[in-house]
Amino acid sequence: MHTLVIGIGNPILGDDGIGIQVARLIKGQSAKFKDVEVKELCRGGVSLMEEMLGYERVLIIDAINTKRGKPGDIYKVTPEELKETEHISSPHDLNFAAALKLGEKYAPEQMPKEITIYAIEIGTALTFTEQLTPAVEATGRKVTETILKSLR
Amino acid sequence: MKKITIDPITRLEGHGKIAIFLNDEGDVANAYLQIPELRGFEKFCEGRRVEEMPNLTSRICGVCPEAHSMSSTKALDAVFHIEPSSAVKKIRELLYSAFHFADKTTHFYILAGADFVVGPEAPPAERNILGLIAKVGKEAGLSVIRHRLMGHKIIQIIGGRQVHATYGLPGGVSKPLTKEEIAEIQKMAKEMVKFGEFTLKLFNDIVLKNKAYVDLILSDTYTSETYYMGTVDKNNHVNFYDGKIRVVGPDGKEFVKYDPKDYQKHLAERVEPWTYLKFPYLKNVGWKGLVGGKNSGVYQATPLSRLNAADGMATLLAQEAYKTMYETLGGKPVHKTLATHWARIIELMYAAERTLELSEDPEIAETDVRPVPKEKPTKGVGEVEAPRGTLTHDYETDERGVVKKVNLIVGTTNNNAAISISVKKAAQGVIKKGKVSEGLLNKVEMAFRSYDPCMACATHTLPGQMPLEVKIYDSQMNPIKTLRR
Repeated sequence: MHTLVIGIGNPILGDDGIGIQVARLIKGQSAKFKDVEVKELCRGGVSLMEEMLGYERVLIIDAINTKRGKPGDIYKVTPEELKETEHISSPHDLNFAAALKLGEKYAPEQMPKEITIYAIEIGTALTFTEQLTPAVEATGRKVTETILKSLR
Repeated sequence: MKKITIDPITRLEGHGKIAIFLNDEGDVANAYLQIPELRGFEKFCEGRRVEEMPNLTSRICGVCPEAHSMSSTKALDAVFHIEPSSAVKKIRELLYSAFHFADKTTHFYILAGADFVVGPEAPPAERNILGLIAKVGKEAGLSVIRHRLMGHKIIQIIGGRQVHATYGLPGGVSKPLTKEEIAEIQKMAKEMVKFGEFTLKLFNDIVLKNKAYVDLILSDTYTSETYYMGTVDKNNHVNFYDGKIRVVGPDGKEFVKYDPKDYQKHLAERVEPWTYLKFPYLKNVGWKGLVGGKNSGVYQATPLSRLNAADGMATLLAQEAYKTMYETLGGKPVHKTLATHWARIIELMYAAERTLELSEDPEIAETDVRPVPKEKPTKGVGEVEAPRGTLTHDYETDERGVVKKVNLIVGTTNNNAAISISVKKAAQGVIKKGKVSEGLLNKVEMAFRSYDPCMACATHTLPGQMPLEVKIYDSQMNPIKTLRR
């Protein structure tokens, strides 16, 4: 299956970059797998949707803050489980759900059939650093293993 | 691995909010917008080689990396005391024009459309590109996606990568363009120009022909009279890549025009006790608080400001559109904040035309584009027009080119004061005698969204709410109401 793994985040904003870190680890191993591409992205919304066009399966790894989670927690979600929001979530772009809807409406044959999101809980990332905190980094490695297993 | 319903919050909800303070009568006394502060960037850069800066700064935020990398590249020119050749400047400007085109396309169709074409009273589910396209048709929708991608493709061709393009060297760019690449760019640029015309027509048909929208644009709620800043070329036409910084007063007359490297002679930063946000203002006018007018040093740097500060646009179709806007809105300068969306698509037209113009310039075929600097690095300033406003990078290095000091004034920072003033005005329209009427969040959101503020929250998002929390305080500073999406 034509698969795309996308790691999303800001690599110089601490734990915000955990998605990028996981993508890099997977990329290091991806030559073993047929038909798997790995991308690092720091954009969401429409750009994220555009990157997904033409692939059958997409795995996304990103950082997340939730009301009750603690750093290092991991959630596996599909787009259907994401809370639909009616409002734009950023001054610059569509939220993910709306971006997917856009893709489904206007390029349905190119949208992936399967989208899975691994969201890793982080604390608040407001300081510029390339360091990850231990709990988040550990979860990142776990997610990497899980994804590599699923690609075999 | 947990599999539960997640309740995501965004960075802004934790640290960004609007605080509205009421007076004894229950009317709005003050309103302030707080955004999250990203800390430690200067420290992060210290000790690094200055040539890394275009790459590093392009990661400050995922929204306009090209603006940072271009401003940074120009700072490198200054740090190494090397003047780029005319060909290098044009190649860079070609990339940069394509970037502005893509950015404005995104903003107008995905964002502004929500306010305008669909309308602020429309149900939230329609106030985005989906609603816009439902109104204008599927073909138009596909066209938006296709043309956005053209802008990004040009960036990739010139910069080697679509996102975080790496092209910037002191005095140069990393590689010349091949004949095939130039032909490909030209083909796309021609389509981009047509798309610009389509966009202007769309705006005319859907917004300008609708009296309710025009009244909204002209309404007092979204009016703000301040100084206006923009970069202009030697003919005082808008230029995104290079020129002098020109500031006009609320009366439209030129107040000052200066070389970007002299910014500290003209701008000072105000620090207020209730926020870490800094408020740049015009030093030679002075700080009179969060107020507009000729005697207050508050200024704006937005697409509308750029058009106000210039005498015109450098390309034909954009210039026509520029004239139409000012004729429609009663002359220069225009103080109507919502007209920023109109100004933005006039700039979209210019960006498309400029891309075509440069793609047809024989100089961009130059192969010698990587000069070697001969002088020792010291310090320097690079400036461009980011989509969100004038962007300045100021670096100081040691003689090996290792970074000692970094100062950035990003596009939105210029507008911190103006945004607060606009938000206050919008709030005043909806809060009277302690009663908060419907649509406070919408109206306030509209006020600051036309500035297209960069709130350092938009690198990537799972669905969350619009990162907006409004807290209302009574005259004793007691919080009485919190509104959030």
